[in-house]
Amino acid sequence: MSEPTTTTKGGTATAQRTGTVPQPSQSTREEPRGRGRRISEITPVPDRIPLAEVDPSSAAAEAAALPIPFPPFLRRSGMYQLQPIVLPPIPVPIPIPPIPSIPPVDGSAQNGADQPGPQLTATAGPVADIGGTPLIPLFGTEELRVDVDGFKPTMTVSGTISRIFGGQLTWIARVTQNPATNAWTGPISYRDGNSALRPQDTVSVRLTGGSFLTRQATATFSGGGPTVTLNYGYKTAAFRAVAFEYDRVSDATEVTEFDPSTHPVRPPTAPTTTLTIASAYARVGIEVSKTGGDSVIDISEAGANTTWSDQEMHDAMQQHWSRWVDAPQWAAWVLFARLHDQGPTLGGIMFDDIGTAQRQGTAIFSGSFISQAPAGEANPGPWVQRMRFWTAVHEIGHTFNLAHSWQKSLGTPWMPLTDEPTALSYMNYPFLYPGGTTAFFSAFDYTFSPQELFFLRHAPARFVEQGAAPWFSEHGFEQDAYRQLRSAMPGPLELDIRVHHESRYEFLEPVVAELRLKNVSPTPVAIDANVLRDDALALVVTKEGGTTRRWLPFARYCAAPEPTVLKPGEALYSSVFLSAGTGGWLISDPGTYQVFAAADLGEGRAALSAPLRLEVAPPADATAERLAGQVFTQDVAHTLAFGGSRVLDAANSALREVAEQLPGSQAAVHANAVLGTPMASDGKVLVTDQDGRERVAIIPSSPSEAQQLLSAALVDINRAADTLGHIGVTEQTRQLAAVLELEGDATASAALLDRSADALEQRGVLPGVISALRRRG
Amino acid sequence: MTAEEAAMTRVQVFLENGFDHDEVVLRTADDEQRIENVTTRYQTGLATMVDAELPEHASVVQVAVPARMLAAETVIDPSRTPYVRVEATDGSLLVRADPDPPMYA
Repeated sequence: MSEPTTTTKGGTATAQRTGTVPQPSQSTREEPRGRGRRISEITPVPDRIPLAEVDPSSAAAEAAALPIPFPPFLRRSGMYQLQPIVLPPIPVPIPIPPIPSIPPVDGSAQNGADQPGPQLTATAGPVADIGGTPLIPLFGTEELRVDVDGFKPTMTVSGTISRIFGGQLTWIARVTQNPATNAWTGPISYRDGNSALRPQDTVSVRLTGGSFLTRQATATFSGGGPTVTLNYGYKTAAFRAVAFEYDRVSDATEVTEFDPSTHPVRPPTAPTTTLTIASAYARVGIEVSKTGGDSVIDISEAGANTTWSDQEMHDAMQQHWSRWVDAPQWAAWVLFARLHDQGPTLGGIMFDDIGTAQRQGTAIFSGSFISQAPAGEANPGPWVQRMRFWTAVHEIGHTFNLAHSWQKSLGTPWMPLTDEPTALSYMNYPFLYPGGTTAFFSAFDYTFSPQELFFLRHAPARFVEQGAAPWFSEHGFEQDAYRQLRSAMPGPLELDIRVHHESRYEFLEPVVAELRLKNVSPTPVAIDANVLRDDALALVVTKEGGTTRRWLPFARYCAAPEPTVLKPGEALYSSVFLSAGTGGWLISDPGTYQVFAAADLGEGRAALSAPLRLEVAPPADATAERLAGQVFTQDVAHTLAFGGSRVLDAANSALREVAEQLPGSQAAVHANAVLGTPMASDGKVLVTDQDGRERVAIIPSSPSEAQQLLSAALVDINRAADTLGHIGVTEQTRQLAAVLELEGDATASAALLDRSADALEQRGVLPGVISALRRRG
Repeated sequence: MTAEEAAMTRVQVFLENGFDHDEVVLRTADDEQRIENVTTRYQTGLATMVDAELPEHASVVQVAVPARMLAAETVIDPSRTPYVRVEATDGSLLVRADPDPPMYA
């Protein structure tokens, strides 16, 4: 028994409390996070659907009257999804601006397993500046969660709309069934994200179809905006899908299942078969898969004291979890250990409040109080098994961001929540429940509270998903939306963005990436050959701790569709100067960057790359630092993007300084290449006569200077390939070889082509490219 | 070891819910401890655990959070209730002694 002889003095309030159960808090509600309106309260969830609310025309009515849980084949609750959609680009006029003169280089992307396309940085055909106007298509997905029957329905319909460049919205409506129409209808009372994506006030959902294959949800959104009706196909009965991995320390006991019927203290509603951690979560709508191989971790990793600190467990998670990444993912690592440093008073802990992406790791301590049945307990074995199982599900609940039952109003709740110290929930402490552990388990039916179920099933993913972090919204690019869309769009074509380079770039070194769109299916795929160079391509650069910006090309190509067929294994390739675009320099300062690429493939298809991670090193010396001001200009960006300029003198001068003062740098390779390229051939420029009339003039080539500069760029083919990319170095090789031919030195030209072919062959470049070089071009 | 020291009994004080970067003062018998930066971890409902020595007979345990003008005390018999739990919720301090160790998860 406690001794509640408590007095308060000198404080702002007097407390006289008795018992061991915390009283419901009257604390002030904090303003919830997010940007939308909030539901004011959570309503109790019925265990089964009241008969009046069930569609009388369906078998669900009969099922609802049964004293058993809703038969899975009758329930219609679950996740529905619109087919991945690609919205049309925003039509805007395309002005044709004056541009720097350009060398006559073919810039078309080419297909074929053995042909990398030439660099996109060179141009051909009509060119238009987009002037900062977003013309890139908008990609998106949309899902609908219907929660009106099955196990403890919360009578809720919610949805998530994701647009890569339009933001994301999660909306929620509490619904009731209209007996006349059988539709589930209610006001949209919660929004998190870009409300403009679903401005309507009300949703009405009709569920049709019987089998899994024919099941559909037709949702009509009305009021507050144009009425919209959308059809969603049934996807799965689960509202979320998550992967758990269980590892055990060599001196610990692992418990992942429990049969409630093995202990006499239980309610009639408790499950009568063995519950596993996976089935306990599946029961409430969370689909669980298992990863890893149940590793056994040697106790020595806990250090000499053989107990675990949070940091030691975090280190073990990084080492042993097959899915470890410091980023949001629907996954968690569960460690079964013996004791925490705190000792036997700690039964388990969600230890992962370390690092950027938290709530990914949790531990259960088999040597703690959870393994000590009270004196006089008639069934000590099942008692311990029950406590260990409860602890495991409880700790995993914390990874979903579920707070303890008596803490709901603390911190920053996602919406106003009430403390529920008497909840019969995995998230309550049995020993704090009124009447204690026995009273708790005599009524506990192995589930979560209604407001917890509501949160697990319907709250925005950024609050629930393990490791979730505040997303970017400032620039409209949503990494969450990108990841969701990427996983929702498996298709025959796989898009990669890559560099042939260590991830660390020198300061001032331009970043040239290569794109590959590959047919990974066993059948041929029709595709527009220009897909990697036109409006269909979207690139986004994010700087860690900084901004997220869309890469906007200096030139746009208005090409007619050019259907082509990619056979299995074939790919389209292109190269892109990533460092800068019309929006300015995106990759310049030292730091870490991520690049995302997406291609609109037409007909509702899209391909999204995995993010490319880059690091820019600090300046190596004072010279590099001093030159930064001259290099990070829009003129130099233009010159690098177009592969050289005959008119941008300041840019050429800056690049010459880079080549001369930083001769061993990768930036010098680029500088020599773009200085040499315009000199390799005649070029047209627009000049103004003395009488003010404009005319096109020809600037003749300067082969000897071109030879000198391009030779300097290619003096080390491997080094050049690292920074220019395989496509870029192939192009530069051909250019220099042509200059050498012009100069009458066919031997040197042939030697260069062979040397380049050898180097590229060793780097794994496709045989077709190598043989073309060996065939002298 | 003096006779007086031999008669001392160790108690464990658990600072639980409601602490947020607080300085907590714990006074027992002639001893005073100042514990800085006490913050509750939501995962467990526990901020930190402090050991204190008390005479075997009934003694006063005082807890204060000076910056929040909160203070509370309780009289405990450390041989019967060696576990002291402290909460700082709802604008007050709650101190209570338990015969059994608290449990967290």
